[in-house]
Amino acid sequence: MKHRILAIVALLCAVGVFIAPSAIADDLTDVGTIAQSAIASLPAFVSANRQLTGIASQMQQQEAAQLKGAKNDAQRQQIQLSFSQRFNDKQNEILGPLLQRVQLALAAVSAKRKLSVVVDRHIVVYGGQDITTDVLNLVTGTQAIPPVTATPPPSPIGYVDQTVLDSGLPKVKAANDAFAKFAQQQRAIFAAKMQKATTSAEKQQISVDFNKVLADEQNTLLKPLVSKVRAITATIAEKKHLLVVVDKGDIVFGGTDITQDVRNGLNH
Amino acid sequence: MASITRLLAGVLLVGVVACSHVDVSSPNIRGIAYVNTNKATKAHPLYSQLQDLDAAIAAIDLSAAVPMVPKSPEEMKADIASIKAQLAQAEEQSSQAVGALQGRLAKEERTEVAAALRSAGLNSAAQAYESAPLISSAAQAQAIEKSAASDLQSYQKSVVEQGQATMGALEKRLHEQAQGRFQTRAAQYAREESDLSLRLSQQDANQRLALQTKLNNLALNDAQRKSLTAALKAIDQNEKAQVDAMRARHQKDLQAYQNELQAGIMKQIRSHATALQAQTQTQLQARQQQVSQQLAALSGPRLPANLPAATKAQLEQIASNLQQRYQTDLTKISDRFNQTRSDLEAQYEALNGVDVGAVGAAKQQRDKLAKERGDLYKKIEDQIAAAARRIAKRDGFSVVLLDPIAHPGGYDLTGDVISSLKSTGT
Repeated sequence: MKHRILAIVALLCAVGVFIAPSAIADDLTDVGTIAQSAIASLPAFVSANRQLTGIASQMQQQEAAQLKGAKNDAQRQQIQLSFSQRFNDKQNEILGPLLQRVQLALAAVSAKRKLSVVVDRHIVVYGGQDITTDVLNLVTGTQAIPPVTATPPPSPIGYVDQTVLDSGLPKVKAANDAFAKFAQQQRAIFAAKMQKATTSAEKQQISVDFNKVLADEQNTLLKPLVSKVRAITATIAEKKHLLVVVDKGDIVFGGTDITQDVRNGLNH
Repeated sequence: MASITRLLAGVLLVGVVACSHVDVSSPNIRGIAYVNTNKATKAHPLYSQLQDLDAAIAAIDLSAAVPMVPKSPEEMKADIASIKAQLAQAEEQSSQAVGALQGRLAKEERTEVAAALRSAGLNSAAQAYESAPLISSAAQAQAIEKSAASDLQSYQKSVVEQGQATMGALEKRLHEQAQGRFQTRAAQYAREESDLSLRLSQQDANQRLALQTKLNNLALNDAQRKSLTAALKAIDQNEKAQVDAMRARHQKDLQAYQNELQAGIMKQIRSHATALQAQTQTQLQARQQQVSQQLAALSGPRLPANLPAATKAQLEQIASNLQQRYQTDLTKISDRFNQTRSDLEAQYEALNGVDVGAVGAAKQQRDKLAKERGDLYKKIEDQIAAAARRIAKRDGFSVVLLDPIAHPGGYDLTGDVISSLKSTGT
């Protein structure tokens, strides 16, 4: 009897182990990866970026010349705004068609491989389907890429635009500013100590202390905010049945955007 | 019976181990895992080294924030000399690198061209091409040209100097000859004048004696004495006038003779100069021609005329490829030199008080440490990623992500990665 029970338990566990992956067939296999750097290195992008660098330099000179003639801050702001707008327009004009072609290629390859999300390769250390070559082939091909009508399926990988959160939240901005000011003050204090130090051991210790002071302040000022943002992000992600949330910069195609939800959550 | 029990126990053990393992396919994981690289890095055995490097970099940054004590003129002088020496060394190294590159590519070109000629069945042309003297680099060619130009210049100088010396000697000789002739003529005139003076004196001697005798007579009155004295004086004046007239004539003749001699010298000099110039010109042209021929012989191997079109195209391709490689490598050498120069300029500016501390030796040291730090961090990152891959493969995860912002689901692989790093001792 005892042997029978043991045998059944063992058998159940063993069977469970060997058949479980095939029985629960919703492991995340629809994650694509791409090396964005490979796209940025395409001659068309390199050339476009070079062109934009030249334009930017030219515009900066023009802007500087006009700023000299500005009579007040309002005029200066107006000039800066105008140049910024002109540069953005130029950027859209030059890079727009290239980026559009990349997006079409990404959509086409993702649809063909049934991917719900494509992330940058540098955040993936294992697994995922690498679609870099397929996308590059389509982008560099001579034929037009037909648009994909179907939207990608919902992905359990979400993303937030941290730049929006950082710049849009007064508390985050204030904390960042306060930390920058603190760092500047401490740098002056520790620099004076460093001047008096005579041995390399003393110097080493001063720099260790300096780093610690900064880290402590960072923990005091920024860590609570970061923790809060992460907690809210996790709560929202859980509500939306997401498994993980990454930064928007790492998402190349698809994914679930929860930036606005997180922002709303932080403002409440 | 005992064996059945052991078998069941074994199966149970496998089952229990399997059951205790993470269920990667559970709805909350779905094959996704993630690693907190910051945490894993801090637990890495090499993290203390990373901290040491961070501290060393921070020490330099802090030192850079300290206003620098002005250097003494001696220190400044030594530092400037050191910067200049480093710049000269960088220039020399750069120049050598370009020379080596040109030499290497020239040899490759020779080999490839000869091979192309051989493949077209032009064996003798290939052999001739290979055996022609090789100017392995533009620098070498330039050096040879420079040397040839210098030789030619030296030769020109020596020929001109030789001509000048010849002309100088000729001029001296002609002047000496003229001087001799002039002096002979002048001496002759002096003798003639002296003769005339003597002749006149002898001619008037009786009359002069008679007058002087009369003057010795004490009974003469003043009027008589005066008349005799005037007569004597008139004789003297007459003699003098004749000698003076002769001397004046001689002077005039001598002046004319002098002019004639000078004109003769100039004429001879011009004549000799023209001859010498023609001779020098001929010598120089011959030498120049000789040098040109030598340079032409050294200007590298020659390709035969009327090459087949395919071979021509192949040779053009070889030239194009080599040119492209030359440009690429040259750019690298140039970039390296520019970087060094820029660093040295920054050091120089630092010596003169511009952004002291952020540049110069401190900057070099900081850059070196930053590179070491970057390399070490990459090594740590790579080991974390390798450990994560190993575990993910073993446990059957489909995807492993790094540093998600939030992770309500998925499996945190960080602990496993840290254990793996510690157990492997990396």
